[in-house]
Amino acid sequence: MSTTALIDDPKVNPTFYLAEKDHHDHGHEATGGGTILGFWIYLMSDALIFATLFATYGVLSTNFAGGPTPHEIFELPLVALNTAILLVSSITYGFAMIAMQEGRLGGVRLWLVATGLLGAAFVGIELYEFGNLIAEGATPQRSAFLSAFFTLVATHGLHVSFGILWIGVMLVQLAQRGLHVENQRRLMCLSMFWHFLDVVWIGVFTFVYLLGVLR
Amino acid sequence: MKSRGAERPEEGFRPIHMPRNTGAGVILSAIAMVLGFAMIWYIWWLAALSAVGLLVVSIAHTFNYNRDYFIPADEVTRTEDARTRLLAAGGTA
Amino acid sequence: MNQAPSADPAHSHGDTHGHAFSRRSYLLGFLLSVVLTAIPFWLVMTGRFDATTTAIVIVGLAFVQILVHTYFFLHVNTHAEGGWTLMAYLFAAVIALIMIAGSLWIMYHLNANMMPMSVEPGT
Repeated sequence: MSTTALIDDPKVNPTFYLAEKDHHDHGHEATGGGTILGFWIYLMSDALIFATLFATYGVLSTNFAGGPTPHEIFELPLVALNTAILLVSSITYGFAMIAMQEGRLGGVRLWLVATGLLGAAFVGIELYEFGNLIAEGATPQRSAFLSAFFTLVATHGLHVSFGILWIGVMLVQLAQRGLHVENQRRLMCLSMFWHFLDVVWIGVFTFVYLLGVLR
Repeated sequence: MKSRGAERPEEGFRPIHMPRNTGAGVILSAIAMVLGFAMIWYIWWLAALSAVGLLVVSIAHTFNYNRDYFIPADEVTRTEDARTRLLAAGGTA
Repeated sequence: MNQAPSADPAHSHGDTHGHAFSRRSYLLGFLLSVVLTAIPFWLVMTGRFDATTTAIVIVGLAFVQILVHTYFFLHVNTHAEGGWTLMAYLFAAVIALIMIAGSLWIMYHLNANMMPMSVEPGT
């Protein structure tokens, strides 16, 4: 729909407005506006925060100050369990998105709850691990290696905790408004957030835990 | 635009998509300022309180789904027609 | 990622109908991730190979798994958001690489150049 009074040829009459795509949305495609790209760009900035934390850890990972080394404090079976939990939580969220696509509100809520519970298990196990470390004297203040370790891993855990909080809010809003197009947009953003956290965890379990034990 | 030969349209106006006003940004900024102050001066109770406040206000704001509205096409047309008449009468007003 | 529509008009397993997400794609990504996670853990926990080889293998597999997650779970491809998703992703990756590699490089050299000397200069 362009102006009808003037010639349509853009070379003769240049138009300077962006035609909105709203009328052509299918209704179940929550891609209106720039929200998805905007959230993605935020996620990239979050990735840079993690990049600096990884860089810091990389620089300080051998500064033990005569204190505990990775070999002494990392329990790989526990880390493997946590990794599995987070990976499964990614697939459960994937199932939630498929249910959303198919318009099944009940399915969305079920898989969101599953994802949230797995996320809570992940954070719980991580807190248990931190509690053990601190009880053994491997506190963040003990050495630069431990400071960097706790900062990196706890920042990731904090992100997961916010994700769980967000899941809770989504469950409330889904109960209120069902698969409203706005809710679908939010679920897509949460999807990107949740999968992004699993990507960061790949970096954590590889570079912190596995390489730490290998050294 | 004028140097590239654009002419002011007088017909074919469409509804304009507008955001609603909200105080959320300013309120969150104020709370964040309190948080920053408290963190700098080690006032932990205030830091915790303002951090929680940030979360509460942000989440409460997400429950507001009434974020936008459209200026109807005929209102835009009426406004633009008034301007057309003004320009025709006053020239370069 | 898109498969041919099935005879059943309702959505069936893995059928995309032009939508972004398909069950098959998620499950494939999941299976790949499981394998790419299990191998590194197994390699480190059993100590099958020497430390250097193991390190190289697990780092390599980590990058592969990141790509798997990026494609199958995050749906980053050349079409998403007119290609801007991929563009932003690549830019962030470049910056992250510079940050991490640069920090490691600089700090390694800094540590080496500030190593205490056994003989005082000038004596």
